[in-house]
Amino acid sequence: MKAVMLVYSFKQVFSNKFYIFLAATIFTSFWILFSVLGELLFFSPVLVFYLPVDAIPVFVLSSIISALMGIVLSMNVYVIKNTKLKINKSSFMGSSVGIASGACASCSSMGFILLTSFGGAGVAASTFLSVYQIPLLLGSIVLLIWAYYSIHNKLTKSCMLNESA
Amino acid sequence: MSKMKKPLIVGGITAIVIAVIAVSVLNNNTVDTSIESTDSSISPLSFSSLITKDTPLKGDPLAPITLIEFGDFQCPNCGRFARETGPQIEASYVESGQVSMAFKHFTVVGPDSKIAAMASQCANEQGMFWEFHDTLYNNQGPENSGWAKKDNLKKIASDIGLDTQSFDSCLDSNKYQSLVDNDLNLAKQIEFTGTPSFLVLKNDGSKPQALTGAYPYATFQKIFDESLN
Repeated sequence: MKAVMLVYSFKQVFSNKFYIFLAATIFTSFWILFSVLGELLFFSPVLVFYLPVDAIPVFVLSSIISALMGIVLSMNVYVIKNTKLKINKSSFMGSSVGIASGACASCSSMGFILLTSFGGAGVAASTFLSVYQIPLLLGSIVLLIWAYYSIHNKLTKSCMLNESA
Repeated sequence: MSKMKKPLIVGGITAIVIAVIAVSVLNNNTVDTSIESTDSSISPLSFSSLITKDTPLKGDPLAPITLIEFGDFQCPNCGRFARETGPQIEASYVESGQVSMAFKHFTVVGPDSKIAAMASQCANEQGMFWEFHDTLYNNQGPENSGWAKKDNLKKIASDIGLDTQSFDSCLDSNKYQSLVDNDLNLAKQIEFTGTPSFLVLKNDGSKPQALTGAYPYATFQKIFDESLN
């Protein structure tokens, strides 16, 4: 029953094509961003997408994060547009952790920039993000799922929905 | 009305920020692929100036193309290149004498990177740089976790059959510290921003092409084929 309700809030938002478009745009933007930073997608000198075996777990997790970010951020926009409720904090936390850890597939490769820009702290941060990348990505997925659940609660419990908007 | 517009403005700004981040990242990656050094303070990036007697080189030194990797033994993407792309280049271009491959040290990940780089030069002294290189990348541990400390490197050297007495003495004396530092300075002068980075040198005297990133085989294939034709 609870699961059906969770789907209901999803349908409520994505029955409007604008939110489907928004979610697709966010998903595509982050999927490209993560793939480029993970050195899986190259645009020059030739357009290549390349998925070596060692990159599969991070690619799968960052693709899930991109999809969840598309859904959760679009639902947040729906909440802001249609209610007087505030934006969901957990979706920002989930998105931030997801971006930092997903993007850090190439952190060590950018070590020189981090070293010159942020000194030893930059290298320490990049080491942390690289070594704990998979747990951080999993944590980000949990946060985004929690954010989805929170938004669902707002949408189903709020009395301030303006369905005509 | 203003209540309606505000979320749209927020949404629009968010979308623009995402787009700007994505575009700037893409530009960073693509700009790096065609760097040609114009800094007059840099010595000419020619085969003779870059490949010295201590530079590990694989293949025919007279090959029309030399691919120089600037790598770090602790860098995961360098490991990916060494395990996936390098062997394909070797089978298709190095063995046929069309391309030679050289390695220079761009030690950016942490202090152990420099130790691993010096150790690899000690292995090079005994003619086993590439065996040592492959063993390190095939057994690469997490960054700065201690796997590239002296004791483990000495054990690896012993396991692959290097003369341990000579290797240990070479590593303990920091014999190749200046070489590793010089390679790092060269990478900085070329304005490489990360590892692995590559220089594609052609023996026709044309300007070398620079790349930053663990590009797949298809990219190198395109560059080599265009140069060779």
